[in-house]
This record gives sequence, C-alpha cells and structure tokens, in this order.
Amino acid sequence: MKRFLKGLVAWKTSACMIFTAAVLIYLVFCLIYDTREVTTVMLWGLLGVSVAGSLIQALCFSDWIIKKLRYTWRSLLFVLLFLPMLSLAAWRLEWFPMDQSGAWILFIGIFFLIFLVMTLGFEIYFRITGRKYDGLIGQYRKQKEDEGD
Amino acid sequence: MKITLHQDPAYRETEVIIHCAQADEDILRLVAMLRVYQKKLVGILDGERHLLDVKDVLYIDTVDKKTFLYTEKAVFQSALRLYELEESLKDMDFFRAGRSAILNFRRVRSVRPELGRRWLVTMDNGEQIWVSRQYAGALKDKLEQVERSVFQ
Repeated sequence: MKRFLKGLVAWKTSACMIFTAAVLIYLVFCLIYDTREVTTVMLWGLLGVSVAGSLIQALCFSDWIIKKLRYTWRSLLFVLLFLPMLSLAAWRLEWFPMDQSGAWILFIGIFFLIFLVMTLGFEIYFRITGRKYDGLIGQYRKQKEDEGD
Repeated sequence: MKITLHQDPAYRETEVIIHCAQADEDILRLVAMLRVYQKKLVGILDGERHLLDVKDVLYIDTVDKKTFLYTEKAVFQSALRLYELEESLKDMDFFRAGRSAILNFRRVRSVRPELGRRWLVTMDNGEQIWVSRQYAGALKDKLEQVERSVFQ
C-alpha cells in the first residue's frame, strides 16, 4: 500500500511537470502564430497527454515493470510509445491542420528535437555528477592510504 | 555451549580456543564471525578454507542462499549470511547495494547515476554492479560522508 501511494505521488509530480512543459511549449507556439485564446479542450488534451506521458515515462525509465534494459532500448521504447500517443492526440484534438504534411513534419521534428535535448541534458548531468564523485572517491582512497587504514 | 573467559595480565595476546566434538557449520560460522573483528574473512574455495583480508574483497553477494566473497583473483564461499556480514562490515566501508549484494566502498573505482534513480558502480577489477533505487540512498549517504571527510 505504501509503495502504491509513493508511486501515485511520483506519478502526480511527473504529470504536473510534463503538463507545465506542455503548456510552456504551447505558449511559445501561441506567440509564434499570434494565437490569443486557449480552449478548455486544448487544456484537457494537454493534461491527458501529460498523465499518459508520465505513465509511459515511468514504464520506460524506471524499474517499476522493466527491471533490466539498456538505456538505448529504454529510449527507443519511449519514442515508440509516446510519439504515436502524441500523434493520436494531435489528430483527435486537431492541434494543427491535419492535411498539411509540413505541419506533421514540423510536429515530429519538434518532438525529436525536445527528446534529443532532454537526453543530452541528462547525459551531461550524469557525467558531471559521476566525475565529481569519482574525484571524491580518489581523494578518499588516497586519504585512507595515507592514514594507513 | 559453555563459554569460559580467562583473564590474566600474563597473557600477551588474546587467544580464542574452541573445544568441540566436531567443527560443524555453527562452529565454522562462529570462527568466521570472530575473524571479522580482525578484519579478516574466511573464504572456502575447493573445500579449503582461506583467510582473506577484508580490503581484498571487492563485493559479497548471495546466490541460492549461499554467500560468496569476490576478490580480484577468485570467488570464495562464506559460511556467514549476508546480513551477518553486512552488520559486521558496515564500519569497514561496506554498504548494501541490493537485496543480495554488499560492496566494499574502498574498492569502488567509479560511480555514475543513471535514469530511474539507479547507480552504476564500477569496481577495481572493472566489474560493473547496479545499485537499485531502493539502495541508492545508502550509496548517496556514503558519498556525502566522503565529501564531508575529504573537505574537512
């Protein structure tokens, strides 16, 4: 029960973060295309995508269901699940003119760009953190050797 | 089991002598526990008992309820349970890395956080061990402790 509640809180936090990011991205497009109004349908749609997206994220990037899988395969699985879900939402909620292939290319291009930036961001953060701790471990070991411990 | 303690200032070194009809599993575990206090571990390889320095053990894990001690040269079996070793070795820089593993922090070459709040630990022999999310806290605590001790 405790584990379930912890998972629920983590899901809510993740959904909130994705929803904030989705609204920010949408606002950028509103600025570019000079859109002054936001419909409740759009907001509900973004919320739905955020909730589903956080579930897919948890499925792909945690050991909740998939215990052991390389990061590359996890990323691929995330793209395979999240992109169709996002495309379905874009089609059903008519986020852009459906008959324009250019709009679809831009949509998919933006998806991969954001995905790439986020992946690189995590990679850089993990490397920096790893290096910091490796340096500390080296110093600690030297300290212990000097102490003759 | 009778326990007798002789105290005499004439003794120059503490000596533990066990008198028994047969050195069964319980006796061997008792001896192994005593060895831990000398920073030594008893490892069994091909039926022979070896005395290992704690610092030579990279990590310890359990497979099919058997405990194994991993050094750079060989893998030894231990008569002690994982929780007994964890308890005895926690003051010697060992930490729990998973349900079935204890790592020697002094033999960690590098650490790296990964997605899903897991950590990938590389040992001195190049072997890589995952520290699961549930046990990542223990590693982070250890690293923070190291950070404090290094900058003291």
